[in-house]
Amino acid sequence: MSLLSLNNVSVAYDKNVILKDFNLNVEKGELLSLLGPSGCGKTTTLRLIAGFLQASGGQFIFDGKDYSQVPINKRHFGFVFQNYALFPHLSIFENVAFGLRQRKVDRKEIEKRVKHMLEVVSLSGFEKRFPAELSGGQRQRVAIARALVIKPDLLLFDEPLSNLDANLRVTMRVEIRRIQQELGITTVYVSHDQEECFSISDKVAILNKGVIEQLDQPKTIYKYPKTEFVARFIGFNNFIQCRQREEHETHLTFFTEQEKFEVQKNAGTTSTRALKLAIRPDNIVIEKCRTGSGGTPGHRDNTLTGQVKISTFLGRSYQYEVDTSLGTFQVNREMEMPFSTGDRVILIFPKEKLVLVD
Amino acid sequence: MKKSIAYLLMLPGLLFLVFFMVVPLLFTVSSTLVQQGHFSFDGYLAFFKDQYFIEILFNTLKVSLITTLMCIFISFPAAYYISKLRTRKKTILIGLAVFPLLTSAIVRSFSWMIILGKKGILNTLLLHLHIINEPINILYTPTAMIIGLVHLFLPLMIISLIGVMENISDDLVQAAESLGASRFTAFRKIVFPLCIPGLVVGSILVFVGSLTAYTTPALLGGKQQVISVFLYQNAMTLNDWYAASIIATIMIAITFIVIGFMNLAARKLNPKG
Repeated sequence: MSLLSLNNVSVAYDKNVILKDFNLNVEKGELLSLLGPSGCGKTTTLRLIAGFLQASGGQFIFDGKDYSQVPINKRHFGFVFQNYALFPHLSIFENVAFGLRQRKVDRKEIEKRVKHMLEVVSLSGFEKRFPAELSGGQRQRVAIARALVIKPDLLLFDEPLSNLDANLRVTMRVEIRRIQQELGITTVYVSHDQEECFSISDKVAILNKGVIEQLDQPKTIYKYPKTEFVARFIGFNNFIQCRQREEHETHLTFFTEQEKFEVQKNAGTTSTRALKLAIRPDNIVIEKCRTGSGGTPGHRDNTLTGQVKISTFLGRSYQYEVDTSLGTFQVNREMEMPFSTGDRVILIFPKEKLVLVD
Repeated sequence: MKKSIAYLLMLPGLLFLVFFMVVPLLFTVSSTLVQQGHFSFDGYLAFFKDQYFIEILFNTLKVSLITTLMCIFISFPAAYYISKLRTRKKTILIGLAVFPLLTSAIVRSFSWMIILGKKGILNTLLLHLHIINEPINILYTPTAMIIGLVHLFLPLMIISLIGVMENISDDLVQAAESLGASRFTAFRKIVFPLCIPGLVVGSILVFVGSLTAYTTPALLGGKQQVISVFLYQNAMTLNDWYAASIIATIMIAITFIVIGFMNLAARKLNPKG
């Protein structure tokens, strides 16, 4: 059984429905990320788990017990806020000790545990300072230490790195993952940064408008997005709507009005009856059209002829917008001799790079 | 160059303050320390030996202290509520809270006389409801004085508190709760200490204001003497400017002592405030 389950949970602010019949399961010891654009309900879900807001319906089960009515201070969850929420009038030591003092832990034990936790987040020697005297990264580490020192049953992160600069973000996320694994604390992590989520999570749930579009291991999501939303979110910018499909032993064949696409069977193609294909701009091969103007449609499977509409230099590669009979495609390519606007080109869609989405 | 311009711009205000405040103040204070051409502390000693004056002094301090405490108790929940509101409603409520400041102290005092008088609205109401059998004496008592003063100075306390409370994020309370603190503990250990700077500013304004207020105690206090009324009588009725100067100097000293004491208390309660 899962450590944490949200069953058919609903949340609404006034008349704004944020979550409806929402379900989520988190296993013991894992780090699960909730990823999605702003307004998708990820923070609401986290605050619901923390107890900062009440669900209007559904059930929240934690460790086999119904937690729906358990007040915040009895949940024993650690929460790390986006803005750190350190107590400005308390020293770093007192900030970290706060949770232990509420639990009436004995004085010597508090001293020992706070010291140890500050070591874990590499902030030894900062005990007497105040939050205002620390940098953003240091404050964030105090916030993490404060949440961890109570040995919480569950750790909750609300976009903890979004106020830090890029380099620090990378260092901190490695730290967070290290500490989480070292202590084996079940963690729910909210972010809108996909690289961050993918790099630290055991599982990622991609949310859209209060619904989980896909919950999988980061690798699986990255390779085989299940829905168009997820595909778009992680950079599959090209879609082909087909009308018909045929199943063969090693591959599937899809038909549009005039074109034919072969797709290799893989982990992502087995379960779905979808008729939509998606591909990343990096995975489309672009070549000069040799047949001159026009080009016969359907002369080869998995290809389209088109005309370069926009050519943009991105530094490492060139990005082209190519008009074809099936719409505009985005292609990224590293090349010595770039195409220019108006060039006739052939787009090749490798069959192992095409994925199926709903 | 830049600095000299800054000093130049400061000059008019500085001169005004020096000639119309600092110099007269020095004259007042020095005049109390000189008797028949000699330095002397006798004037003060005489005052502090005078039972009547001591009584007035304590009376004044008591009224000011109660007024300040009442203002804190009334303002705290109101300010907390207002500080959590969003823009429009907040603007309206702050406007309402400040409104008493915009009416004259005399008009307000007369209103309270109408309400609190022997045949006033309050007594009439209570008699009709058979809660009391004969009119109670509120007007011309310390109670009336305190009611008037609380009404007068409440806005200052509310505004001071809203100022600090606005900066206390809800996240802090939630953080405290998630660490195991009850609502009450979160308030006691987080919200309250963070309110101390506003509380100190508000308390100084209200306390010093009550200490030096003249109109309200004079109109609502009746025979109950406070120090400002006593000063007025010495200067205007008895024409004893020496005594009046001594009283004024004592009032200034008390003000400084109170401010110093409040700041000390603030530092103890909230070291980072």
